[in-house]
Amino acid sequence: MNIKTMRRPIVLAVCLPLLLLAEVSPDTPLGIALVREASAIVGVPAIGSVVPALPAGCVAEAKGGTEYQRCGSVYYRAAFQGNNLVYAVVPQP
Amino acid sequence: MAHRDRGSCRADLRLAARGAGSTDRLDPQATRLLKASTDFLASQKRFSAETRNSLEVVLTSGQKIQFDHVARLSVQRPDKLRADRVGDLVEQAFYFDGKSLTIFNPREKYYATVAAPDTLEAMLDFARTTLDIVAPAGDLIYSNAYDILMTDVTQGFVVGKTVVEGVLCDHLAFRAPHVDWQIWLQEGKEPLPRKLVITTRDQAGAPQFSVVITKWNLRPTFTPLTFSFRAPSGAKLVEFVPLATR
Repeated sequence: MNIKTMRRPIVLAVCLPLLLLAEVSPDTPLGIALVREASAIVGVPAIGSVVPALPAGCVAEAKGGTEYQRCGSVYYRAAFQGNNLVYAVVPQP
Repeated sequence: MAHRDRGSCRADLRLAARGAGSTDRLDPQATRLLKASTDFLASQKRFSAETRNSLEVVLTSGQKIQFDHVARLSVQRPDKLRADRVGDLVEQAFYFDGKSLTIFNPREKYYATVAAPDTLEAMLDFARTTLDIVAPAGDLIYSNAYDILMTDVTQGFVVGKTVVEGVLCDHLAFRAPHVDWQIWLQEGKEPLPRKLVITTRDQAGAPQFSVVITKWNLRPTFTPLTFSFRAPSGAKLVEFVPLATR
């Protein structure tokens, strides 16, 4: 988004994270398509890949003081990517 | 189309009738008012503000959807910032205490913390370039806010006097290659920004972002907890991951 690279006006920063969020998947305002895509994948998503929301039916599991989300056979960890909260695929803890 | 052109023409005439200067150059009166505002804000050692933001997102169909947020900001120069945003798309708090910055999503109860440079401006640069984190109101804080705003601006003029949230303001309009923006500055000795509208011209549907600063407080009371994050019970520490290549 040009606005960002141009370091556009004041208070703009207030919204930029949202603009970025919109940029993640311009086709859908909330990244819904990305989520559907992720949950529709047959097989195992690559370690390190990132989704903006978890697929349905995940279970929180704590191991070694760290919280994981187990979704079927796939483990996710929450993380921030810029201002956005995302879930990164990690190896089974 | 012809109808629209007539409408635009009438709007131009109305502006002229209100005493607006030429709209196709950079009017020194407009830049003077803007500079007075940014200088005034730069001279404020501490302030807090509340804002109401509106963000338009354009769907592939062309339909526009609007998302609203409110934000509350606290700034203490040279090294403290706190911002809380709540709204349709995000609920997030941002803390900078002079040593580290923290972002916290209260809804999901996740937070991440990282050591940061020890001044506001250096911290903002670091957050933007290293983490791609944008601190709310960051651009208000830079002492060279005027230069940041005016980057690539080719045209600007004074639209006239308008009332925003009951406050009489000077309404200015500027133009840069990809972006049009308007700003409303409180008239008088405290020329605070009261409203900002950014139109992204080169994007389909020309979506707009607008923010109204509903409250300014130039004599706020802060406590150490205003700027220092203490994880509430149940909050979970997570990491920052690098951005995906776009």
